[in-house]
Amino acid sequence: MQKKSRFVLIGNPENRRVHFFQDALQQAEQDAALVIPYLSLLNGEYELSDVLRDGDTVRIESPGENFAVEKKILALGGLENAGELEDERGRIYHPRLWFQGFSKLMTSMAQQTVKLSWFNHPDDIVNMFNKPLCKQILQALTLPSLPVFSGYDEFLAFAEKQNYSRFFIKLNSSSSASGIVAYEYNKGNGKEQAYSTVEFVHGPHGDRYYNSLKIKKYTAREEIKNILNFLFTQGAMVESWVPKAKHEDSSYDLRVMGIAGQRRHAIARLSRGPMTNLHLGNQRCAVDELELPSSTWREIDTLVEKTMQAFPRSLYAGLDILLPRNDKSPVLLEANAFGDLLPNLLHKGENTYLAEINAVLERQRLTHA
Amino acid sequence: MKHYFEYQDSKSYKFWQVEIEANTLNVKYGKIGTAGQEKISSFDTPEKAQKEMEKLISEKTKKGYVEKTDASAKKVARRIGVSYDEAEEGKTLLEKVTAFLDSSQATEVESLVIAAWEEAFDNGPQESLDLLIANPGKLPQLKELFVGDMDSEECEISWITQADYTNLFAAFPALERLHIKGSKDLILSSQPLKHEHLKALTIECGGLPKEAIEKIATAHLPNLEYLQLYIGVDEYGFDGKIDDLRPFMQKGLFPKLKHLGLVDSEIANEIAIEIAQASVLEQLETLDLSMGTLSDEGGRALLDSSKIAGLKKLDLHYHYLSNDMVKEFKKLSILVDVTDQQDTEDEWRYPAVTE
Repeated sequence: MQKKSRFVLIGNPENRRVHFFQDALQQAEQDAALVIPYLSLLNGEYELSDVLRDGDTVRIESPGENFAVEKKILALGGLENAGELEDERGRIYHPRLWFQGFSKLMTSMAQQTVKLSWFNHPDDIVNMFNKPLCKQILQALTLPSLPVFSGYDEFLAFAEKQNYSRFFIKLNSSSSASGIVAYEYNKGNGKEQAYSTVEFVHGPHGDRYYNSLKIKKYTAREEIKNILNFLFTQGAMVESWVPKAKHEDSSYDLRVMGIAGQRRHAIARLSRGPMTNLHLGNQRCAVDELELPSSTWREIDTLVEKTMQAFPRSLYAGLDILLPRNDKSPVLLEANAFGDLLPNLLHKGENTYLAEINAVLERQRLTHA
Repeated sequence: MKHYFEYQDSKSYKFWQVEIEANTLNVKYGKIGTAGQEKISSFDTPEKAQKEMEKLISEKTKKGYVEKTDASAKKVARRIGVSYDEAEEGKTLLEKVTAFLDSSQATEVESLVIAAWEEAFDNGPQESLDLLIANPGKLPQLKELFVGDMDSEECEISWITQADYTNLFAAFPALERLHIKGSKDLILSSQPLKHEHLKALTIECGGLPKEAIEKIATAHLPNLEYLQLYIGVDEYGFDGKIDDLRPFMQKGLFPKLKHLGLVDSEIANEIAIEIAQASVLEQLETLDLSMGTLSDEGGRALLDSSKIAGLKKLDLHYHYLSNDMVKEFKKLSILVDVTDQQDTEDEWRYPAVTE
């Protein structure tokens, strides 16, 4: 009889992601995972190597939705006085330094001497979070690369020259539509407009930037410039805004789970605006309703398989897939290492967490067989 | 056994068909006028296939699909547009419309939808429209025309450049339904607007110019049953006032009018207050004040109106009414759509990593 591997979860213990995972372990008749809080590691209460032992199966969860953790990651990334930051709901503090801190943290986790089995390898998590790098890795599957811009003026000069001046500008490392702008330039009259989740407030110590749950529309050049300059300074990439497929009177993209190399759960995210993220008030829609032809599903399968092959040390990812309106082949938009928070979405009777756990158990069974 | 369904609203026009043969279901669906897509599924037994078919039909019916028993009831529709990569390759709407008019299908088409065209933010569809106007003989069956069926994924609505429709009305005297999307550079008619057979007119835009409102308010449209106007906002071209909308509130302006929509308005409360006592309600079946900034002030006027009870349907979806007022509307004996409540008090900031 094989020795049961111990599950270890690095996360924010209060977060629903942790509860969902523990619940799924119980469903799979496994012992509860040992939870290592990010905060304990970041505070130096103990080292990961003090806790981990040979054969552990480790899952790294999102560090999000915990301001104490956010401050520590910012400090690790080099932000001075990070400890004194105020917890303002939705405030975007310093994405570039946050990502530096997060990368350092993941790198330190990757350097363990004991033999571990990962859900997703920390190096892969960093690579998926790094959108320009991820795009490079998955070049053939995603939208073509566009130049990198240092600021708004340089970007506008580029936009003016394009036939089709509609772009998404995205922070290099963010999630949940944080720091995203859907931008449009009108060659006819030189007007611009931008839809964004970013909102800014002028203040005595410079402008402050927030994530807004309401998509704001900007038409004043000064405002658009302000937001784009903030994003470009923090590091942002530009992508073509390709019209998304339509379902009834909404457009949509797909969130598809790749687990153990295969397509599993899938959901359509309907939207009447440019951003489809579900927490922005957009609707989920079962993919059956879309009545996609089986040839499209076969293309999606291939897309998922190829994406997962690019991250062979990772068990799962939540993939954002664009179906262009003109019936062209599906395109990968993003691979999200923490993209499995899709509560109540079942595939073959399993939610995402249970499907991942069962895939790990299957992997263990095969290696021990 | 075959069942054929159609679905139509202001935005889409599509079919869905299911055919059962022993334990196999063959489903075809798509936009009307296209061949559509086909999906074949097999079941263990014919009974299971039958059950599945019934389930699918009931789902479609719930969504508003209507079964057409007679195959000849199926309208011949065609949709023509230039997708964004076709535009990048240099294709134009004019080429496509030219090719369509020369095709044998044109003589049968009853419903024509012009979707996106190249650089719609800068160019109107005038040449293509003029080509249609010059060739009514090639479109002997045309009853319905929709120009500008695109959404914000293709072109921002307030940027869609439109055209001059003056000569359309005389060229197609049998036209019944006209839907125009976009109001920039729109000229509905440079002469008094007259059409004996038009039954439905929709102008969908970010802001309807006063000039267009006046043109419709003074039009001779004796058969108009359905009028849907997106009033919009000042920023996108609505330069009118409540006074400009008053003519539509008079009974008999359009003697056959059954549906009046003054939607998507930033003066929705003013409209509601005025129309609540207006004589036009005596002839309407549906009043649509949806998608605007209607709040309790306008809602109260509607609730207090004795004329509302004569309607079959009151559409207020997407509104800023309070919960209490929504409850009051739900108690009315007529059908009221108060879905899609907006909330200005909502906590609108959210943490970065939530999804």
